[in-house]
Amino acid sequence: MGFSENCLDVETTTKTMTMTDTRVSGSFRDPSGFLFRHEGVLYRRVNSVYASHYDALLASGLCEALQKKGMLIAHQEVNPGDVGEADAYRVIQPPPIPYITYPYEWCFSQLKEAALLTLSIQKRALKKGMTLKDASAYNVQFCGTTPVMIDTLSFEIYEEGAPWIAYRQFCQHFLAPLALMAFCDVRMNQALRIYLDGIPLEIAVSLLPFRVRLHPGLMIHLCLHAKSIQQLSANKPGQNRRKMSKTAMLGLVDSLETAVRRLTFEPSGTEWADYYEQTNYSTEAFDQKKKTIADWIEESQVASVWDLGANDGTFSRLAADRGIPTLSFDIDPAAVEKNYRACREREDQNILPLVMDLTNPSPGIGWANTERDAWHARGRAEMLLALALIHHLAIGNNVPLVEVARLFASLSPRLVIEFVPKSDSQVQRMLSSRKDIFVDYDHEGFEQAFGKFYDVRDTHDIEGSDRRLYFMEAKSQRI
Amino acid sequence: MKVTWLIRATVLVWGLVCLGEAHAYIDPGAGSYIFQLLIAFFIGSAFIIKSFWRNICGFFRKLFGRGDNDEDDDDD
Repeated sequence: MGFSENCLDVETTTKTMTMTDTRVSGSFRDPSGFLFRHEGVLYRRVNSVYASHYDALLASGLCEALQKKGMLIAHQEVNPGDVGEADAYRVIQPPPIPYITYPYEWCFSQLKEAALLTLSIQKRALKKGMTLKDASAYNVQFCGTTPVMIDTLSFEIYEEGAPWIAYRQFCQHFLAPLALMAFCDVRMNQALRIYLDGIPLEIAVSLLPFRVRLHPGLMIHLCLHAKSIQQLSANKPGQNRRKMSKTAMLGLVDSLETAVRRLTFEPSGTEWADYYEQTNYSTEAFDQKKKTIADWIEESQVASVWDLGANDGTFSRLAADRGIPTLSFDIDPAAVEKNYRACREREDQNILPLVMDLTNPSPGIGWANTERDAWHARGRAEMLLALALIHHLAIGNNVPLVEVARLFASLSPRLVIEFVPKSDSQVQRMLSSRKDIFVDYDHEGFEQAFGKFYDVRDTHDIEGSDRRLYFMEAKSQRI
Repeated sequence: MKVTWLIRATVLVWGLVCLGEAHAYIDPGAGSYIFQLLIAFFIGSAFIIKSFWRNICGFFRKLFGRGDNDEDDDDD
């Protein structure tokens, strides 16, 4: 059962799910309606003010066509009175998304796919006499490797002659970050964590190299667009009596699509993207390690796995190949990119690769710090994999072992972890340039720290190295 | 003179009314809005030429049996 199927039958375990009749914290900007939970089930309310647009969305056949193609999240209408919203125009029930993700957690290709999905939907909408009234990257979610638009109320009736109201938002949410990732540094998507409504175009243009001006699409939609925002902002849109034909609108979308398609990123050369090519134990030992972990996953019968420090997802696949939805986190966007591409190639819908720095993971951001939830508030894993990760946290980032154990125990009741001792060449390399202040960093210290939160169920020594695998279960849910 | 002023005022009011009908809730940004109107002609013309060229290519592809799988085919 992959993420796609999960979109239909697995519920997230966010903190809001424990409450009844709770409005979802990030759903308040659009007066057309909002998301809420009633007795733990997610619904979307459609307000009367949006009635004509909602009816047009259904009557035009656009909704059905997009849902049939898997581009728009499915929904079913429910009786508003049954869910405590008797005054609503309609109430619809979308399937829950197993784990909500945000654009600053996506790799380059994920953001690009989300951008292309948005443009493709806009094109189809125009052909049906509708248009997207927003183009937020937060309206797209990933079910496995497939992007899906989740905001059913993002459409409105297209008005002949009117420009695209979401043009600037699309450029800020998609085109600017993609250009920055392609031309400056792939880690520039982290700027989306600061700028909730996308990267302001004048900032993007000031950071981009001069050569982007040689790309017609980027020149128009970023450089000239940014200049226009600065110089024409004093004008009122209504004062301009020009109209924008539908052909011009389709041309705009086509031009944006071409600009997005031409942006590329090749994941290679970073420390982590080639990590498994530099491991220091034999192929046999590596295979034995995989078999042991696979056995532990199988005997645990878990329904979800989070692989922390997953690199290119080699070990995430042990869970995914057994039909278990797996989040595959890594700090390196190049490794996540490799993982995502491999998943696409294998049509693997069980893995969702995500960029995450465990020493500074996604916090709650936006209005009241609850508009976009922190990573740990969006779900919980039934099992964690933390393979060849501990030395990077404990030695690379000075995080005490007991704090690592505390965090892991708060995320999942089961843990498969690999301890990498100081005798290992990887750790020796890390210690070669710094003073060894880690007196408790050994097998004994590790077991003592993790023993506060977990009971060890099984261990496995990795042949040809001093590394050891542990399979642990949390002592209790008190943590 | 008065008639011209009246026409202008009507057009302006009609424009504002039309804008109000849309259910948009985000600020499109005046600069972005006007910028689209300014580039509309060029971008529309380029799109017409591109579509024309695509049709010619599609015709020859079909003629030589290579098929034409436009991923954005709106088959609904």
